Amino acid sequence: MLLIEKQLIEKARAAHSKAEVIELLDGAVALELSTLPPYLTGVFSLAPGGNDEVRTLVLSVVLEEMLHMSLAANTAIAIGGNPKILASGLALRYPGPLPMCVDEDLTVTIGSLTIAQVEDVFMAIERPDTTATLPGEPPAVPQRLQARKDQGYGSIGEFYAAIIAALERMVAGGHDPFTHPRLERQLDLSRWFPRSVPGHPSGKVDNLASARAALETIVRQGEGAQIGADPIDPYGGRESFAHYFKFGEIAFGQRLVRDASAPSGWSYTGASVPYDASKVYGFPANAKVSDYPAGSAARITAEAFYDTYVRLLRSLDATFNGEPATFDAALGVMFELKLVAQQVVQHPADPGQAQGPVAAPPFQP
Amino acid sequence: MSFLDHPRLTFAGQFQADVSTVNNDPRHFDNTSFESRFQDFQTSTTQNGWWNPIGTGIFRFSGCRVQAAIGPDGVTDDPLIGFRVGNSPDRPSGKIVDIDPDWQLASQLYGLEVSLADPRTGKLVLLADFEAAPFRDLWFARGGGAGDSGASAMWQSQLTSLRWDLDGVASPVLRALAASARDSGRLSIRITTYAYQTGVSKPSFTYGTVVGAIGPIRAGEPRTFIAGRRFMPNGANGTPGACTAANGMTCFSAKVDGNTLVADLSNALPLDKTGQLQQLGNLQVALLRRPNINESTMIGGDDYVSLGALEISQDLMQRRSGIQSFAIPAAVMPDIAHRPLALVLLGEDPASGAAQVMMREQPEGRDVRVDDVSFRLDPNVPELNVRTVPIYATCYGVPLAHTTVTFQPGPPTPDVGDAPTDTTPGTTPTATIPITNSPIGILDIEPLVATTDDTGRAVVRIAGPVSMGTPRSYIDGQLYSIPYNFAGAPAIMQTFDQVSVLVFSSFTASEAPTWAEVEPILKQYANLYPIMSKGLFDFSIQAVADANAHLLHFVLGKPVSDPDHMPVTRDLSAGKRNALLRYLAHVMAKAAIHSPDTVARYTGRCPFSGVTPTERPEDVPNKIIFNHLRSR
Repeated sequence: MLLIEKQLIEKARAAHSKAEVIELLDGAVALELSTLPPYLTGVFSLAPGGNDEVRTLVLSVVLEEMLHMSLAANTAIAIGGNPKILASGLALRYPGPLPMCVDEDLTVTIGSLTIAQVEDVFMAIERPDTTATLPGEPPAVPQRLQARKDQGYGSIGEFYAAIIAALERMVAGGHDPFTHPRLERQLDLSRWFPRSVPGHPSGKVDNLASARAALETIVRQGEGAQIGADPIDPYGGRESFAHYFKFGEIAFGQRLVRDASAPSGWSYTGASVPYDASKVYGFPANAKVSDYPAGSAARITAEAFYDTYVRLLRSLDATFNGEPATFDAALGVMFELKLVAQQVVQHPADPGQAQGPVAAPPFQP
Repeated sequence: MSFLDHPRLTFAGQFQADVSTVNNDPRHFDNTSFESRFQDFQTSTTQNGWWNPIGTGIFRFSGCRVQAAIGPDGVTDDPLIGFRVGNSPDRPSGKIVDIDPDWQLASQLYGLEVSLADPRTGKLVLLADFEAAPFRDLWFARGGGAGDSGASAMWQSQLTSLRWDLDGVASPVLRALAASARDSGRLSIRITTYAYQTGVSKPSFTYGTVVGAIGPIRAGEPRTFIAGRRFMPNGANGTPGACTAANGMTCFSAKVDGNTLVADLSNALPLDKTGQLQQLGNLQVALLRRPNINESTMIGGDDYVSLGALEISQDLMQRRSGIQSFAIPAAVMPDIAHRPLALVLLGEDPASGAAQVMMREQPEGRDVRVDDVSFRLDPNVPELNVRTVPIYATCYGVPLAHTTVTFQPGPPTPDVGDAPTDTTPGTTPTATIPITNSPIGILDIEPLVATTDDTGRAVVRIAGPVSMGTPRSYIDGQLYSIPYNFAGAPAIMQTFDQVSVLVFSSFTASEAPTWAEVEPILKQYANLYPIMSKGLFDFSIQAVADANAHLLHFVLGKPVSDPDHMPVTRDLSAGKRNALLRYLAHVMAKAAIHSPDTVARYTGRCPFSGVTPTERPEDVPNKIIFNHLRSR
């Protein structure tokens, strides 16, 4: 579970102006964006010829994070915000805490998709805000989280709930923030994310109801529905599990199935989700372009990759700052990113060590 | 007069051309004899998928910087120097595309954006579209070091959709460029590419050197070449068919502007094995006093007037993009449009003036070129089945009015140059080598003999047949090459300078095409482009294609100029494209909409093969391939 800074939660709970909520939503956009480098690096570390189910699970989370970023951005635009996607993306650094987050027990690193990385980083990022003991989890985990919450830290779910509450307060107080929702600047999500936002297929925001639907979709897909007590409901939507449980299937190597004998009502005892460690490249941790020796194949391909990543950030920035049609180009750049990543991993990180770590596509200069 | 004019800015750096090479062998288009190893890297004895079977088709600038700004008074100290010349800031990369596997000598750039940015702030001061155009004056003997192909070529085109942001930009040259384009909305650009690395084990694999120049356009001038003074080896002293002079130089163009001669040597100067420019002795650009002094003739000081020494320096290439200016002495001006220019090599006693003619202008100064040297015709769409090709004729750089130019379609020719034989027994592709230019007589070229108007210009209309079969059997359509020249006394043409036309096959499919109807189209594409079929998902499997119908429909529906247009190679006829779109629309209608379940969506792309080789590819010199091409 991501622990949101105490003062941010307090700020969200006290927010009463559009400017304050926009700032919080900017943080939300940055946070959703910040999950892409660790998850995508994991995907890129999966060598051809195996781990298809693992790859599929992580990519499905990546896609939903893109949706979440888009929904937070649409909400910000609806109340006058101009999402700073390029600046947020360029500011990301790993290892480190994610934007808005403080948790000395969770330092987000980027690296190969090992089981440890899935457990320590992916599942830690996505753990639902619940005191329930989740499948396969030692009781110490919810106990530690409870202790943190007692100290005033909030969860991502609480953060979004506070934003919704702030918007509700403004509407109730006669200061409707949605008077100029600028729908023409928002991204219509129905084509690429059909049926994702209940009752609001376009994912556009122009009133309290559509804002609530958008922000609740983020929380539901990330954490799952009706989380809070045993037995849990791990579904993030009608069709698939919330992110934490998708990652759980990788970590435990089996599908999540109903299990009356488990406290949560669920356990990872279903069909096998095979993980083949021999088909995972050994990446250096937290790769940066500058880590690779100048003039090496790793450096040259890494620079091309980073260039593509920055183009992706720019195309998304344009998409949510007045040129929603640029999303078509952003999609193209996303596919290019996957292709260029495959060129980076053909080279050793250090040309002097042909059998050493494999060059990781870097998300940092 | 285009990029040779001022205001002009020059730039230099690297380029990447990540070409895909499975389609380099036309026999790989045959689905029935295709083998999966044709997607593997070559070995020293087997071509397989040649030297970059997993290429993406990406073409992009890398590390390019503005080197010089040239105003009316020559090189100026302009703040533009050091600005980044790059690609689109927020679009997919441009693509490099051959017109046809049987004509890999006129590669075009599609979807390439060119940007100019302040390196300190990142601010874009200019963003423009590079209008698709094929390279010209390709030659393979430039050299540049082991492992390199030695090839060099130049793209001349125009920048369109100019988006300026000149606020706070104190560059007089950039402001003058913007002013020059106020009415036309266009600029002239030329990029010359060489020292390209094809060795897979080299860090700079798929990268090479680029030098470029951007200048104004003038009304009535060609888009893709300089209609000016064409220095042309006569072929007798260099490598036969390779268009080189005895000193290793190839053809180049120049233009007279007032009392200045401006020459573009960016593509003309040979390199040594270390990639440095070869020093070629004391070469002078000169005006010959008599029109009939031939290449290699020894001449005396009275036979020519020097305009100055040809500079062969890294500075010329790098900083001035190979463009050198020469002041024309006043005494020579009356003759400049009546006498041939030449490169002459001074002997051991320069003071005597004794020299040898190394290369000179075309015989009688007469040059002719078409502005649309390579294109596709599509009988499936009448308006795409005809092209009007402009022709420009000049004599000593002056428009040549009322002269006749003939078009002579080439004879049926087997494409042996692109279909090499492996040294490993039994691995040579077994498909029949395609024969181009057959059947003859199906292109409607009107007129076959064109006469230039008062401005030295003519147009010829080239139309495809109403209905086109499949003469190459397994490759769509047919490739026609149409050499052209003056009627009567011909000019010397650059080896590959002929009109090349791909005529697509007529294609009809049912209104709701079945998988059986579209599968061969998708299968061929999956075979030829593993970067797509393995690097993303294998759309030649029906279940995968159907699961990703929305994505396929999206990219197949993009305009040809879009960098993401599919197929990347732009070699799909409208008939086949529309059949695919109808098939995919039908699938999408049945499934209503793609799955909202994101796990199911990615499961629909499995199994994922990826393109990363399991073992390091063997480093193989590419001389064999390029020798074949050179033999054309």
